[in-house]
Amino acid sequence: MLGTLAVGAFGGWTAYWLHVPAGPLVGSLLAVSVLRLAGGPVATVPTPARRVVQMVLGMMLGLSVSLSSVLTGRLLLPAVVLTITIVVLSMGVAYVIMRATGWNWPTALLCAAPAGITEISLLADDMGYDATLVAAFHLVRVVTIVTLAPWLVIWLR
Amino acid sequence: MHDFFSFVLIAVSGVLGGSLGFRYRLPAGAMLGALLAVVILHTFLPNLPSINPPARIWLQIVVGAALGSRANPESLRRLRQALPATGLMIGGTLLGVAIGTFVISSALRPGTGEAILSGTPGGMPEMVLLASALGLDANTVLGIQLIRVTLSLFILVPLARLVVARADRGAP
Repeated sequence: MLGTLAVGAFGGWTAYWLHVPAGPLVGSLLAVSVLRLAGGPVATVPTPARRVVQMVLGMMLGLSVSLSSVLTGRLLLPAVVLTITIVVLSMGVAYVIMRATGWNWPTALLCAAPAGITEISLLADDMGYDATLVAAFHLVRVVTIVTLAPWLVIWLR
Repeated sequence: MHDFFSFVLIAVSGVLGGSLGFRYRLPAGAMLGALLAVVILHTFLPNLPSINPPARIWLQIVVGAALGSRANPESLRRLRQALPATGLMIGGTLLGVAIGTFVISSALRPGTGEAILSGTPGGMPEMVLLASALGLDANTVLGIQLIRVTLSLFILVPLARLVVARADRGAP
């Protein structure tokens, strides 16, 4: 576990010094993923530890966010339109995946569903589908986005 | 001494809120519960100290390591077997980013960075953390992501159950 954090720290600080956008997050993510996929000695961060990290993140954000600006009504309509658009798009992607791979519709839908990794993987497990495959798909989605989004923001800003 | 008591207050309220959020299965409940608890505390005690930049960097490193440690060779093998599906999913996600950014920037006209991170289906904690790390308006990103993830679960869970029930009925 300490070794994993050391690798993350190395990748994170290197990316930070190289001025990579959101470097600590992206560098740490890439360093640990690459070492883990190469068969290196990387331990999975256990679920309770991840929960503690999420709590600390919530505390940090809570000190810089105000409730009234988060729950303002002006966000509601665009967010609803966005959600419906993304859900319809993901159903289209699921259909194409089903046609291209021959997988059944529920598996394709769970793989393409744009919601949290934990929630969708648990749902797949609960319904008796391949939760590992579904989790792997969602991990690729999040890793792709977390790696690309900072560059997109810097490039288009 | 004042800072020490503030730290204890923040930690206690965060852990309490995070535990409740997790227990009541809010989306990203541990983060959201802690965030709401600290926001409420901050409303009553506006002079709470903020977290210093090195701590923010370390937090990003830990989040990155936690995400990276979930990748495993077995997942990679399975994704390689399903390469066309993986490619389609990544293509669909990037199309989702483009459409989401367009929807948010047309409706709200925030900065480009806020529009991208608000409209991107890439995980609520990660997008809010990125907004914070890039010096963007985390309020807007959090608000939209919160509504998106909650609504998605409300739509997708019954939809998936309906699809599975139909598939089971159609099975021989």
